[in-house]
Amino acid sequence: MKNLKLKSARAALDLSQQELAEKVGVSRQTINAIEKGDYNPTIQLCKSICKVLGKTLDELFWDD
Amino acid sequence: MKKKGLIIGIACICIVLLIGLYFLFGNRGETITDFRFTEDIVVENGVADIAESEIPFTLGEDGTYVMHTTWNAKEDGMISGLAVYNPAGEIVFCVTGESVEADSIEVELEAGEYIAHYYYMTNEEAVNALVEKSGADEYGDEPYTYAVNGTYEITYQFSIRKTDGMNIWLCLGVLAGVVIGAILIIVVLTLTKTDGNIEPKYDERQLLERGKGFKLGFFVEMIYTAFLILMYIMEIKVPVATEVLLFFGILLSVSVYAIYCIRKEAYISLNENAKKINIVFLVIGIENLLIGVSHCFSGGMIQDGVLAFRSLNLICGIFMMIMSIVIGTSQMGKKEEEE
Repeated sequence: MKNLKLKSARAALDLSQQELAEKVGVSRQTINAIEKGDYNPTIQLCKSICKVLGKTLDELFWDD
Repeated sequence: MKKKGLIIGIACICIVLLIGLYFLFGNRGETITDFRFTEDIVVENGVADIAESEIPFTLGEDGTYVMHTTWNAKEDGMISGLAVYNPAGEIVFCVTGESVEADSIEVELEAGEYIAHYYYMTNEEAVNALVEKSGADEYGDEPYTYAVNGTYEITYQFSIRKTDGMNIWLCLGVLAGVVIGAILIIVVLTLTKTDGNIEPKYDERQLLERGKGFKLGFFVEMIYTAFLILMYIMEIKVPVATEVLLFFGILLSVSVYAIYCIRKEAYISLNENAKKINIVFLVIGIENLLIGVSHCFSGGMIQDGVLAFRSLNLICGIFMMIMSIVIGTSQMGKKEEEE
């Protein structure tokens, strides 16, 4: 399932996948895979992404 | 940048020094005698017109020697044998066959007059008598064809080389090869990194995919080996040398692993430059292809009717080029992927 919340939060900060990837220390393909729902990140990576995007885990990774 | 330059500089100096050392002292011994002759042997009613030839040679000093001989019969029916006799009349090296390329083990020989005695045999009794005389424990199991009338033109070659065994300089030569290989790997690893480190860095998804790639490569190698074992049990012969078959399995499994990782974007690490990696693959691939093609023209690819060890350069080159293409297409696909 696609993670549209992550994608929109990234877009809101005007960050590209590459820029977000560099900030959290992963490859651009990993961010792409998370947004497309092809990869389930570890809690550590989820926390890093939340810190960079200024969001909580619930806001980005909790299914409604 | 300074660190990188220093590493490359030291590596270059080491390479030049070690290559010099190898060529100066790492020789593999001295050839004492090397002769080649061609015999036209006519066989009529199962009897050869020439039974044997003798070539004497002298060893000037005691030492460790390796003997080498080759001959190649174009047609079945003539079995040749070589027995090398020492001054005491004992056989120190013996080999028989229709076509032969053989090396002796390293043998301790005394100075004196030796004889390389070639026998031209047209019946099983003569072959068995020579093998028995040489004191060999086993007889060859080749299904020889005997006593076919005709003319056989066979070229025989014999050489004897003095070795000093694994002397200190030969050891250093081998060590130099290993060190040069290691230095080259370190240089390539350093140059392809974007942060000057040797160690690649992967993120969690890449590590996961690499693990799956390893598993896939391992299973490919296991299935391939099982397939080879089955072929061996069922006595299915393929015109490929054993070492080529085994090395092909390694290449196949490594390629499966690498291609899986490339497709999953887990081959190139976070601190590696994909373009530089691809250039390394291209250079190694082209180099191996060129060496392989040169083997094709020199006739080294096929030996005794089977695909020989030298074909590995061509196979390796093809695999490297495939990898390079896969990395190239993967990099091109990346640009279109981002949403």
